[in-house]
Amino acid sequence: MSLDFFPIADAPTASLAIGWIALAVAVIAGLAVGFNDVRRFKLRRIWALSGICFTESMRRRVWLVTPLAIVGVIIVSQLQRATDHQDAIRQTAKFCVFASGLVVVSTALILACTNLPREIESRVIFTIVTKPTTRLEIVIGKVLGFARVTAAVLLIMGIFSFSYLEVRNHARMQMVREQLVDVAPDGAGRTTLAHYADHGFLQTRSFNYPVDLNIYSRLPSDKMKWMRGGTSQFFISHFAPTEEERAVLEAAAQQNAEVDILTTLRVNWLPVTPEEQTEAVRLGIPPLHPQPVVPFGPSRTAQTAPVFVTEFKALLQFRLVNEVGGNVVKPEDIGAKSDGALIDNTSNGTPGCIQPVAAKAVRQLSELPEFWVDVSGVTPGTEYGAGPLPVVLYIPAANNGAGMVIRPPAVAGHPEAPKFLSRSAKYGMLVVGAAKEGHSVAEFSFRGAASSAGSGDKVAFQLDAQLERTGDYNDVPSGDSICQVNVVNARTGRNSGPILVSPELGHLTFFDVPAEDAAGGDFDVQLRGLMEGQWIEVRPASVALITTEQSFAVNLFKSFFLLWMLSILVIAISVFCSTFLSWPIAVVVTLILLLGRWGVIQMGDTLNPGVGHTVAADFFAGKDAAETKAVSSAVEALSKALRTIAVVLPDVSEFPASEDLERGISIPLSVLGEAAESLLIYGVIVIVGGYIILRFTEAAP
Amino acid sequence: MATADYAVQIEDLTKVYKDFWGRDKVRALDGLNLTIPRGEVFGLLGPNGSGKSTTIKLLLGLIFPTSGRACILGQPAGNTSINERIGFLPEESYLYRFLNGEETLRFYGKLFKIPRKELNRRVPALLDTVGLDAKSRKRKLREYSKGMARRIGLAQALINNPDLILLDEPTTGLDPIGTREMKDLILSLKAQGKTVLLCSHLLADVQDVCDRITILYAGKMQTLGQVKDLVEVRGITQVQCQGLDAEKIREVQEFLTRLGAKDSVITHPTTTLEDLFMRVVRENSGNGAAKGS
Repeated sequence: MSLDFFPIADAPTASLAIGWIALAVAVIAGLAVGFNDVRRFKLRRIWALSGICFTESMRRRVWLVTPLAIVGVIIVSQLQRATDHQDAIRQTAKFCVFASGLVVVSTALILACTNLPREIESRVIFTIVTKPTTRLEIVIGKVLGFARVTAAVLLIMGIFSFSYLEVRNHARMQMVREQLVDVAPDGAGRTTLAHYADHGFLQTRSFNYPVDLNIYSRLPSDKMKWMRGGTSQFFISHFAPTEEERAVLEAAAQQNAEVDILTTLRVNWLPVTPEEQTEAVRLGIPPLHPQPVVPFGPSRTAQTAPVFVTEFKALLQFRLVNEVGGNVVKPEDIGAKSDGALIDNTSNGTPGCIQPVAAKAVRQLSELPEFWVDVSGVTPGTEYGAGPLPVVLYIPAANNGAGMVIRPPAVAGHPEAPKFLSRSAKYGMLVVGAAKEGHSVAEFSFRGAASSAGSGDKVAFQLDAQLERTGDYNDVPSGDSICQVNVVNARTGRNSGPILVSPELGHLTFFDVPAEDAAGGDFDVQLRGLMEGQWIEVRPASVALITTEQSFAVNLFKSFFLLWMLSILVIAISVFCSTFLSWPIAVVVTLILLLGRWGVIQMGDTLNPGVGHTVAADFFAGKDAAETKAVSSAVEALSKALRTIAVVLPDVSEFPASEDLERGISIPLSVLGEAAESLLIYGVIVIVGGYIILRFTEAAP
Repeated sequence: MATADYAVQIEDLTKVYKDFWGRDKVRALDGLNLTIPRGEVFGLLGPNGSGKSTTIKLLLGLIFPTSGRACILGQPAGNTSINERIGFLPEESYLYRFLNGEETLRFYGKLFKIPRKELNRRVPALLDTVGLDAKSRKRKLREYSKGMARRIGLAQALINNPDLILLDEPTTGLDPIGTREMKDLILSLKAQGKTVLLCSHLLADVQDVCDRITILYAGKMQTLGQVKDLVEVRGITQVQCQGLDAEKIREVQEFLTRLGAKDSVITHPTTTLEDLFMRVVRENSGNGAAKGS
């Protein structure tokens, strides 16, 4: 199961805080070393020094890299294999930004790394430092000078990119208009084609995204929410025990006492679908229906507690997980599927089960500030219904045997509702297509969305979902699909009624909804696949409300501005490195500093704490204990060092120039702000570092 | 120590170059003590490796002393603010070769925050002073001959109208006319009350313009004094006069012998090759024809 859709906690902002602290330290150190130089700081001198860098670069014809990049973009975009018109424009935009980024970063790197060492080697620096020029002005002058060069390069590339994309867009729009003539008025995809014919492909939109996505087996009614059995769907309940509750948990652990997961669910028996049949066979679970018996699983004392009267039984599977879906307690300590809990559909209307958690796992729980109980319905052809509080933790030994219940944390006075999810495929979570209700429906919840979005009486939505065909319906076409969308206004209760949408494989789809259904900004978009044998893969951002349409030129400018900021960071680091290294080494070190963090991130889980133990266990199992321990410690230390480096180094992914532009999304100002913040922190630190090094380095060694 | 009356004050200045590991490699300057009053043209002489360039670099703050102190115009050497009043012509013209002569001077002028209006006046005047004509001042420095490069180098050293000018081998690469002009310029700077510290191998040039000199060897000062005192050959008397024919010369020689003079030699004085060259060029090409070539 993919873990993409767990409620991931905010990433720690430790590196940012460290960055600001480092910036403050650097500024203080700079002032301590060169307060007089700061006092002598003159913009005119800096501008003159930067002018020299700019003039030199221009007279060395650095700008000649731009025609090369332009030719490259034209050739590659002519050879591209696009899936459709939009894809062709997207790819071209990506090539333009990529080529511009490549050219500007490599130019900045080479120029800035070689300049100072060359001036020292040729002794031109003699005539600069013997003037009333401070080392601080020299460093800043060079950074500014090469920033002017990269701005010029980006200006050329920007003008080309805009012109070239406009030309291609015009040609593609003409082709779409010709295509529209041949498409029937109610033909699949006509809406999308008409949208492109009207708006073109160089769109820049702002979106409002849902605050929540739940996937149920059918639309929630009253207070019940439903999930399908066969492990295709599950829900997670959030627990964040208070200090007092954690103390009780710890006391229970010390007494070697169990903790129970109390689950209350309703059960509906449904016809088994072909997918469920296949899945049941794969999992070794024979279909339960139509006979209402218990064909598998041992009956355990705890599961047949006297509060429940058994009529029908269906399996549940439990996990205790963290914010990204990883187990926080070994599955065997809460019962694996083979001996999973049984839910009893009682005659007195109180269905549920008690799932004990082994005493040794209770201590682990007591140490966690928060965790989630993951509940899957295992039995195929079964629908599990959950109320507002389907899961609680029960500590029988607490309060001198009177017991204690731990509930999910309160949100707006009520226990936090469980989150319903479904099994994930490559792109997203699966919404199973079916002509009838009762299988799968995704509910995208918008809260506080732009209520004035769209023009006139309609608001527009973008659907970005993938289609997949199940192996059980070989005669089903794999191309277009039909989905049903309902928009329910959470304030007024108004329902738009079914809106049919035809998503195409690998394409964006657009649909309009009456504006009053989204009025107020609080509404739910319910999406259901109508095609048997097709899965729709969705993510939380798969449905987006289009709030504004902006100028593509402005977005392109933002994209190139991000590239410019990145180039300044490259220049600052390059100048810093060139103050104490020969230029070839400076190039290498600059690249390491720039890409180090990215490289560590690419190593992913490999560097998680405990990797030393894993490596030692995998490769040195059964060998000398001291040797194994040494390997484990060394790998752990290396892993820790790399993680530390990752925190300290700049993050080039904070300069995402092409991603949003390519997707036609307006680059948020917050992205520019984050990039500027990163540039400010690292730029100032390396400039001060370069200044201090130059200040104490002889200009004529 | 620093006294405003002195343009340069050096006290026990020592510079030891070290290798990568911090071990002593070369003792380039060893306890140098020197003072140069304002308004003097001072010559720093010595063979290669004697410590001349090291001394200049230390005075300019291009390198840091191992021990000792140096002051320029009353302030510690290497102080950025004092660079406002210093002009420096390095041994080779280390300038941006992609700029032309005029751009070069404007660039260095901006580093001194000279107002644009003043630069518009000063740049052409300086280019005229160093003998770069209108055509050559628009050419890139990479196209300059060595002599032209020295001229533009000198111009950049004077762009700020400095009080102290450090000239490292100023006549290297110059033709005799250029050399003469350089010497004339140095003398005119002296006349303006400026201090010039001259470092050269060409002893004749030094002798022509310097008030005082010092000779360095192995990083130590070997001699210091007025040029005329140092070069005077005591014990030999020279008499110059006009209008004597061969007979009279013979009588003078006999008279000298009677007075007890030993090894007396009576010859005709010779001019210097520089004077001869200057006269020939003037007669054939007119004044300044070779400028800027």
